[in-house]
Amino acid sequence: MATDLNLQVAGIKEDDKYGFRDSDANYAFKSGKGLTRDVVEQISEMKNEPAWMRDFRLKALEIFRQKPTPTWGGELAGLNFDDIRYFMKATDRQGRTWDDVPAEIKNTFDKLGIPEAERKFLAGVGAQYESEVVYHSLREDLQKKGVIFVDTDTAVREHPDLVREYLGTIIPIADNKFAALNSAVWSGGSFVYIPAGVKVDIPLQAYFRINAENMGQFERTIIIVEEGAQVHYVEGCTAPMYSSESLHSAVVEIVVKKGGRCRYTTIQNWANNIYNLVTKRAVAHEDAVMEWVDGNLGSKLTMKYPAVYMVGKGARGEILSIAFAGQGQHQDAGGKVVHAAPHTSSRIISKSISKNGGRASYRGLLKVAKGAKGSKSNVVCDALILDPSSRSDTYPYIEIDEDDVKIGHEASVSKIGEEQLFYLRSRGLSEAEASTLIVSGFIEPLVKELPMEYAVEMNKLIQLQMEGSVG
Amino acid sequence: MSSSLSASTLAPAGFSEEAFEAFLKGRDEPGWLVDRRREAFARFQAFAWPTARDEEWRRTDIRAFKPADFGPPAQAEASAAATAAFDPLWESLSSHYATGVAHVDGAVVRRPDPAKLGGATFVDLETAVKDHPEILRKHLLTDVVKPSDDVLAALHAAFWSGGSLLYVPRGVAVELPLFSIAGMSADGRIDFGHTLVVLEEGAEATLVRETASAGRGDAPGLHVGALEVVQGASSRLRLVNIQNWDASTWHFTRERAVIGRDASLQWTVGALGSRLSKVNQEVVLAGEGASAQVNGVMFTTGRQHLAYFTRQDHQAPHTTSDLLYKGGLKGHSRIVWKGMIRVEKDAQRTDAYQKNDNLILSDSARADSIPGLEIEANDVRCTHGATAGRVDEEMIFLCQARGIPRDTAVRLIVEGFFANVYDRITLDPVRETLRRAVAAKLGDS
Repeated sequence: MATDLNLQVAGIKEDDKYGFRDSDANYAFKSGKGLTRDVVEQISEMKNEPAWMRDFRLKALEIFRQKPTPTWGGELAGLNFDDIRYFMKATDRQGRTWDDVPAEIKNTFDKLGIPEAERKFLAGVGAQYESEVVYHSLREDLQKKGVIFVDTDTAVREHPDLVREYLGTIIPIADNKFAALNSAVWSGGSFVYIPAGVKVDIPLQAYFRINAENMGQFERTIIIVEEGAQVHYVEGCTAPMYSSESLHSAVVEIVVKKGGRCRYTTIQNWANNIYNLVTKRAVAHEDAVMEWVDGNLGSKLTMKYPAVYMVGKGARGEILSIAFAGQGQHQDAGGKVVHAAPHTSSRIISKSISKNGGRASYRGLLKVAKGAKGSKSNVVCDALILDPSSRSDTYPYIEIDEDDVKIGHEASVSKIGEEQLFYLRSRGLSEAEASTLIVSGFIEPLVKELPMEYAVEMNKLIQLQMEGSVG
Repeated sequence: MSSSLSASTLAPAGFSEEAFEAFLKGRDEPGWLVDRRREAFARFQAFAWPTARDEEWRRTDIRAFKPADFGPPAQAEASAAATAAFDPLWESLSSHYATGVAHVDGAVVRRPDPAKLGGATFVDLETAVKDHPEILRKHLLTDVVKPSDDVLAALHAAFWSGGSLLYVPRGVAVELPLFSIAGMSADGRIDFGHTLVVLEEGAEATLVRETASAGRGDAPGLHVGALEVVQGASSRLRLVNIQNWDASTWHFTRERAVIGRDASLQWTVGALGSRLSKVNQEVVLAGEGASAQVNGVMFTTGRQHLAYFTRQDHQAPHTTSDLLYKGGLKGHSRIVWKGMIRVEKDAQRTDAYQKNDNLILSDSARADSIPGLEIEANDVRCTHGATAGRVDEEMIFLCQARGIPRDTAVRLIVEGFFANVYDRITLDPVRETLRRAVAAKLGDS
C-alpha cells in the first residue's frame, strides 16, 4: 500500500493527485530534453549570465562527461541523463512582496500546506519553483545588519565577487559526477551571507519542489558564516507523484569561519520516482560549529552524505540523520566527518527505519588526519526493520592516521521489541498505534532538534508511513 | 615424499604455463586431482591481478609484490638444519598438546603419532591423497574455498603443496588438542600449504595451527594458503591460527568455515607476523542453531601492513555469531580490518555481533576499521562497534604515582586492553603464546 505522503500532507485525496500538477503550458521557458553544450549555453543566456559563469558551466559539462557514474551506493542504472529536462523557468519576474507572487504559484503553496501564519512569520521564504526562486522577503532588520539571503541567480547578478570567491571551492566541480552535473546546469538555490558577529535568531527557510515530469532540479546553495556569526537555515522538499523517473541533484557549500555557528536542517520528502543525489559539504574553521540535521523520506533512491571538514583547531561537527525507506525505496544516506586539525570533535547520530520492502543504508566516513591530535568522535547508528521483506545495511568507514584520538562507533539493527508492543497493547493501544508510538520514540533524538512546525510535520509523515503497516 | 630432488633444482620462475607443467610432472598425483589443478590454473590465468581499483585492495598496496620473483613450491626434502630450526617450536607444542604434523619449506618433516589421535584421522595431505581420496574429492577446494573466489584462491588451488587433513568421524570426541606447524627456513621461500578440517555429526576436536620463520633474514617469502572447515550437525570445533611469519614474508590466505545445524565453532586468530597480510576469514552459519565465536589478536610493528577481511554469513534461522578483533599498532605499521555481518532473508532470529578495537601506540601508525551490516531479515539483533584510541596518559600518570615506571605502565595497559579477548580463549597455552608475542612486539621498536 503505497501512500502518496505528499498528497496526504497537503490534504489532497488520492483521486485528485493529477490535479495537483500545474499545467506545463504556463512555463515561460523549457529547455529540450538531454544535456548538450547548447542546453548549457541556453541556460546561461536565458539568465543573462556573465562570461565567467558561462565558462564555469561549460567546464563542468566537460568534467561531467568524463566522470564515471558511481558503482557503489544505490542502483543508478535506471537513470537516463538524456531523458531529463535540465531547465525550466516558471515566471520571468522575481517577486519582491507576497502580492507580486503569481496566483498559480500561491495556489501550489496552498496545496503544499504551508500555513498563512507561517509565511508571515518567516524571515524570508525562498520558494523555489521550477529552479527559479520567485519569492523573497527579508525582514528589514536582517537587511540592515547586512545579511544577504537571495536566490543564487540573483547573487550572481548582485554579489558577483562574493559568489566567485566561494562557488566551487568547498565542493570542486570535479568532486563527483553529480557535483559536475549541478555545476553545469544549476539554477536557483539560496545564497546566504552572514556578516561577522551577526546572529540570526530565527531560521531562514526555503521550500523546493519539482513540478514537471522528467524535470531535473539542480539548486546550488552557498552559505557563508563570517567570524562569530550564527545562522540556522531550513530547507524542506516535497514533490507530487509521477510515473516516470526524475532527478534532483543539488550542491550545498558552506563555510563557517572562526567561532561561527551554522545549522542546516533538511526534511526531504520526494515522490517515489525521484533520484535524489545530493552533495553537501561544510568547512568549519577554528572553534566553529557546523550541524547538519537531515531527514530523508520518499524518493526512489537517495544518495546523500552531508560532510563536515574540520580544518581549524577546536572545530566541531554534528550530523543527525534519519531515513525512512518504504516500498520500492532505497535510502543510502549517512555522513562524513574529517578531522584535519587538532582538538576537533564530531558526532554522528543516524536512525533508519525500513518497511514494506524498503532498504535503508547508513554509509559514513570518519577520518582523522595525521596531526589532528586530541580528536574525538562518536558515531551511533540504529536501525529498525519493520517486516521480513525489508533490508538494512551499515557501512561505516573509519580511517585513523593519528594516535592521540578517542574514536567510537556503534550500530545496532533490530525489530520493534515484542515486550514494548505487548506493554502498550495491554494498555489498550492497537498494534498499529503501538508501533507508531515506538517508531516516534525511536526517532525522537532527531525530531526534537527540528523547528516546531517541522517536528509536527515529521511526526505526521511518520504516522502516515506507518499506517496499515503492521500485520 | 618419494622425491629425491635436491633443493637446488630450479623450477622455472613465476607461475607460468611452463612452470605449472613442470610442477605437475614432479608430482605423482591421480587424474582427478590433476584435472582440478588444471581447471584452477586456467582460472588463475583468466583472473586479472588486483589493482587499487578493487575494493578489497584499495587500502592494501601490493605493487612491491612481484609474483614472477617466486615460483611453484619445489619438490624437495627439507634439510636437516632447516628441520632442526623448528625443533623448539615442535617441542613446545608437543608438551602442551597431543600430537601434530610439521612442514618445513613445504615438505613434511614430522607426522602425528597415530596412538595419540583419539579416534581422529590426522595426516599430511600427500598421504591423504593416497589414503583418503573420497574425503578430498568431496571437500578439497569444492564448496568451502573455491578457485573462482579470487586470483589468489585460484593460484593456491593450482599449486597447493603440503598441509594437512583432520577428519573426525561421527560421534567421536577427540579430547586432546592436535597441532600443525608450517615453517619457512633460510632455504625456503614458498609455502602453499592447505588445511582441510571435516567434522562429522556430533564430532569434537581442537586444532592449533602455527606458522613461523627461522633464520631467513631479508629474503622475501611467500605464503598463499587456504583453510577449509566443514562442520556436521552438532559438532564442536576449537580452531586456532597463529600467524607469525617474519617481516619479509607476503601472506595471502582465504579461510572459511561452514557450520551445520546446532554445531559450534570457536576460532582464535593471532595476526602477528608477515610483511604484508591479506586474509579473508569467513564463518558461514549454514544450519539452524549454528554458532561461531571469533577472537582476533593483531599486533603490528615497523612497516607491517595487515589487512583482515572478516565475514559472518547467517544463512539459517536461530544462528549466533560473535566476533571480537583487537589490534595494537606501533612504528609505521597499518592495520586494515573490514568486517561484514550478512543476514539472509531466511535467517530470522539471528543474533550477531562484531567489534574491532585498536590501540594506536605511535604517531605514524594507521588503523582503518570498517565494520558492516547487511541485513535482509527483520527478526534479528545485530550490533557492531569500533573504537580507536591511544594509551590514556592519565592511566600512565596514575601508575607512575604509585611508583610503576612508565614502560611497565604501558605494558600493563596494553595487557589490559587485550584482556577481554584473552578471556574468551579457552586454551591456556594459546593465551600464553599470544600474551608473550604481544609483549615481545611491544618491546620491539
